Amino acid sequence: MHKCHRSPAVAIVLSLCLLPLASREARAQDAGPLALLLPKGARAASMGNAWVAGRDEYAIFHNPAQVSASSGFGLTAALFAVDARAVSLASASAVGPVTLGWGVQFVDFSMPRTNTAYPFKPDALTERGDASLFSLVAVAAGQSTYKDFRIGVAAKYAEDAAPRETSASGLLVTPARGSAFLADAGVSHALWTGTAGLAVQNIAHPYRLGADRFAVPTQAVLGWAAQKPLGPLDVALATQLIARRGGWLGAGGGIEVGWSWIEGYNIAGRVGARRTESPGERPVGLGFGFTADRLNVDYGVNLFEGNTAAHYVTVRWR
Amino acid sequence: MTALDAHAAHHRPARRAARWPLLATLAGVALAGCSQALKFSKDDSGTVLAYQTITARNPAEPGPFAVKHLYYGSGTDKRRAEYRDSVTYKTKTVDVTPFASVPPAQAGDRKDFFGFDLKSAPINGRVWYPDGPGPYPLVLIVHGNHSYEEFSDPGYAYLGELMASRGFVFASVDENFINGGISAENDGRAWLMLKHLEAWRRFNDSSAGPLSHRIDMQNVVLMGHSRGGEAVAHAAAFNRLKYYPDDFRQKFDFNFAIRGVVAIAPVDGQYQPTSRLEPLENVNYLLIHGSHDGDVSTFSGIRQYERLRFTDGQEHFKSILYMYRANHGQWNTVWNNKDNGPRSGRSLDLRTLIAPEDQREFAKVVISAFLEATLHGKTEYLPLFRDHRTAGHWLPRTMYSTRFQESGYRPLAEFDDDVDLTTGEPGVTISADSLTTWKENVIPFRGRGTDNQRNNAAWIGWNNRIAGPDTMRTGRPASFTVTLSDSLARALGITESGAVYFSAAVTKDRPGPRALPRDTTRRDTSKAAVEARRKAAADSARRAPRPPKYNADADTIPFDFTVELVDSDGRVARMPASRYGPVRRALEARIYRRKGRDEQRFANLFEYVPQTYVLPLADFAGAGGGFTPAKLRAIRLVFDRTVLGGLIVDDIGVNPAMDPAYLAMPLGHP
Repeated sequence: MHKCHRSPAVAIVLSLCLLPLASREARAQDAGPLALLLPKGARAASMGNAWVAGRDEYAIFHNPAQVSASSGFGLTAALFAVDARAVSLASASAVGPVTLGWGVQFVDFSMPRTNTAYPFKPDALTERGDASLFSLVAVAAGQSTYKDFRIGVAAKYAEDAAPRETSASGLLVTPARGSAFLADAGVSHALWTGTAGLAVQNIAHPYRLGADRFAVPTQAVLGWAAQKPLGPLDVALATQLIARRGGWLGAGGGIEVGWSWIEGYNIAGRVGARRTESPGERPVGLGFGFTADRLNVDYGVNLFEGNTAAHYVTVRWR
Repeated sequence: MTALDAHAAHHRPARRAARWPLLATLAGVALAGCSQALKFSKDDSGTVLAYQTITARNPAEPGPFAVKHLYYGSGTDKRRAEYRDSVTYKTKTVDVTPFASVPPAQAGDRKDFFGFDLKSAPINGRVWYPDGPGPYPLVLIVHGNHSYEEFSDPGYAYLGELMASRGFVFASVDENFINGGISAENDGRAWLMLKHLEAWRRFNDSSAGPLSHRIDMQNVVLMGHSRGGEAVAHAAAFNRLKYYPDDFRQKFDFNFAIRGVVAIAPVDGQYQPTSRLEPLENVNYLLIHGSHDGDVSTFSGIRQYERLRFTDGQEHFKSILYMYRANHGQWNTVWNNKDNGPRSGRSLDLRTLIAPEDQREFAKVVISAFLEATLHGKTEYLPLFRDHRTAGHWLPRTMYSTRFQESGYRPLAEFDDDVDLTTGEPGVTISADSLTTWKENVIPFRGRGTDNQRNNAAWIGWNNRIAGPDTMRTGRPASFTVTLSDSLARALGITESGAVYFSAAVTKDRPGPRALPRDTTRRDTSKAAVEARRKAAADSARRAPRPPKYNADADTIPFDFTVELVDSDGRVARMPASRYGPVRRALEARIYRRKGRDEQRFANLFEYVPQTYVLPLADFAGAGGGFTPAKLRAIRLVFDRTVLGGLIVDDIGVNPAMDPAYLAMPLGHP
């Protein structure tokens, strides 16, 4: 059984890892707000952001079916290349047969006032300018199990502030705000020796910013994640495929190799790859983590063109 | 570059180099700081196991028979060639679903793996048998729960080889298909054992085949490990029933001659027929369990032992041998030291375990002795079950506790029936003198939670020191007495070949010094005199040294007490309890690697396993003083050998005329 199950899993992982490298020229359609396009936690960031079948507090941003009732919370601080920072928080707890969770990410960045190329892509965070901007997403989700299927729904609010010309001279540029209410739905189920997850994310009408309307990144995401012991190591895989409205296809995957020398303590190294949202991003992510009982500290890095990087540090307490 | 920069640049590598030892130290602390140091109870095996009074051959040594092997089974096994290509006897599959069910989420994977589901479960077994005409007694062993992908049934080959060489047909039963994430299935495991016995009856009745008429179906013992240990007790009970207790549509018609049950580190109560713990009766019974069991860490099998009753007037016995530093898995060569699964080394402190060969050597000694006594009638091995010290040279060097009872035992005080401290069985009164603690309570399990041994005992504590500045001053030794009425003594008909029983476990109780007896003489009650006495008492209390905080590690004083028997003429005979079994403080077991994990997981670091002491009345009659066993009226525990301590006392009783085989090979005066 194992042989026949391992083969497709390995094939999926390899194909997902190779896909981003094979099609670097095709880029995602314009969609916002920016916070919907960014990794939220360090672990996902270093594993190709392939978290639709991942399971922790931050899964709420990827697939509401995978919200984990760990009765703890996660806090992530992210530092982007120059002048951009982000903070993400997520938590979940069980209420009877339902698991409820919430999450929020706030991104604070700057940009030249003259840059009016909206919607922003993640590589915009490597820029620096005189206009102070932000992007945020907040999500609340509920999850329950029906006949061994985990089913979840989420409601989201996302908002961007972007520099928009308001004066005839073109010299006075002020931020404009645009926001959207969105919905996610997801399902997951045990498959082979792991978990398969399917989520439909960012279901919403285009939102208005200034006088224009912009699409949200509505997408279907299908993925599989698993953990297996390998000798003294614990190996975890995470993969996903993204089909976005407008025809953009993305993929991502990552592998985590952990080692525990005593119950409750663990160190892990991670590497992942994904098809990026913007040309300035590099597909590879790296990271490591340390667990001591209920405390979990993860670090992840996503690389950008020009020797710049986004650093994520997540502290989780369960 | 400025001079300052140059200086800094010069020192930078040195500073970097200096950081490494610091980082390495921090990493070392992080890696090792959370594990606990190796710690054991003080080992007394050098003394306790210094004797070997049983003169029979070591039952762990191979017997005279050449050993042959065969397999029986479905002949269609997808995973194992031996049950597909090598079966000597083909067996029909059975439907286990009335007794066990697979969670729907697992059903597909399991069927893919095994190629069948529980509606068509195979009757597979691997057999070791003596090369001879027979008939030979039949012993079946069944494994317990484990990963279903790692087959457990080959793990008892070491027992199979030994037992077959000693004239037993020994089979290890395959129940791997109900292993894994299934619960409440121990009735299914039990029923399967009986279906195996049906197959064995067919093998024996067949006119051809290597086992034809070579099985003594009148002499059968069932053995089980872990969940299998519970299952064999259910099997022994189902064997006598007409219907499955939970559903009358399942008719039973087994009635095999099951003479004995061996439970190896069993669970208990995972299946409860009619919502109660399975009653068990009229079989010989052996229970072995390890103090460092990382799976069944609570000694739940002790309840099975307690429930076993002998009601048919036949000769039976039951015994527990509790082994220090033994784990759950090393009884099975497949399971070994993975009590917590493949990653056991992360959570369990494997350094604490006795060598697997030693653990299995112990199993060979006691199981072989049990089978020889039960199935071959070799009574020379019986004293081992009364007092393991009679086989000190056979047993691997570690510590053991023995629990024992045979069908001639008559209870005097078992502390289970009422809430009156002063009464035992009808005709028995209980009294105490100078005790600081005296109560009846249930014996707890080591684990946290509300579950317990479901067995009450007397909890007593004493301190013979008298409170005050003179720390050497002691009072009359405390004592605990069970007195028989004349009518009861007459009814019991105690003879000189009889014996007194009790079981006891040392507690951590450390009572403070006893108060001075009240001065009841007439006193000067004037105000000045009262004030003077108050002041003197206060001074005395101030000068009295504070008792040191109890430190179990430093407590190396041997624990012992005296057993006094009193006859109706008031004549007393005394013997130290340690003559009849080890008297020691509770055996502490630290199972986990993480510092503090044992304390977090367990209410106590030890399990209360009361040691049984069987005291032949002839010893007391021969001790001088004119004590007459037939006139026994009181059994008194006198705490004159250890100044302070606590004890759980249970199962005080007598056998009026004990089979001498049990009392043979006494240790004399160790």
